[in-house]
Amino acid sequence: MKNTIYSKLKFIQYNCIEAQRLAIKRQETKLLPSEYMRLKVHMAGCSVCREFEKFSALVNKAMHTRLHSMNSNATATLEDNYKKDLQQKIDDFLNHDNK
Amino acid sequence: MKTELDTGKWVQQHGDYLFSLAKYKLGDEELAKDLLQETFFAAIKAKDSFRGESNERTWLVRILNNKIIDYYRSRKNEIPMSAYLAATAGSFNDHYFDATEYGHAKASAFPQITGMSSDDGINQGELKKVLDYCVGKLPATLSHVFLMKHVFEEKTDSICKHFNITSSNYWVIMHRAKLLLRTCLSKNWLA
Repeated sequence: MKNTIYSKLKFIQYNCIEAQRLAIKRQETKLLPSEYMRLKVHMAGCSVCREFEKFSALVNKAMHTRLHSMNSNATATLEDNYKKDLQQKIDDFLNHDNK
Repeated sequence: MKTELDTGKWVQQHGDYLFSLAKYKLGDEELAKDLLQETFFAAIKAKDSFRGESNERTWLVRILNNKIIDYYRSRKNEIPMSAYLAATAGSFNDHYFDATEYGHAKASAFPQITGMSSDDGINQGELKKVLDYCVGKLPATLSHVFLMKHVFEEKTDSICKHFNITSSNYWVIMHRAKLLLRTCLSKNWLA
């Protein structure tokens, strides 16, 4: 019995794959109580996963800021020649459509 | 209220803006150009439905967004996601984790990234640039789901429905995307 608990604990402590998935999940939604417990136990002893959790939150926040700063400004530009061609295609398409 | 479309100035007035949006949402320049052109054509076909309730740009953005969503939809059955995830799990996990027993992280695959773990990192233009670059480098299968979440800001369950994946597939995909982003950022971020 003692052995089983010990091996379960060891599994939680060493399983960074699960802990990182749970960390990402927790940033989006509520974890089940059992998931939350496993995450807490793992995080207590794992600096790599603690850092990964922070990184994940940073990406979420940066993507959000990025999206909402895009709303009024163009960040990429088309080459002039490409624009000329494209406008020509639009004009042609319009004429064709009107016939 | 202006109800006439000024098609002769579309590219000049909205080209760069629509292209930027499309490039950002698709993570692919050539594809963005294709969908931009399709958007203008579709707009011409639908021009009679423009009644000037919204301005020309808003109207074009709406058409573009529909084109992008259609593109994602058409892609979803190309590669069965769960099969792709299963087939690549071994090599992926081996790189980052000691997956033979417990899945403990390999320290070598998680190099320290200095100067980015603080909040003010977000305000630095450099981070945005590097992040954009790295998002663009994600494999298509992962990036479609990632962009659906972080660019379209769709809810998780509707993303799962959309791509026909389970929620556990979804967490695996987000985890992998962020692992790859972390590796890419650690290589390209100079604090």
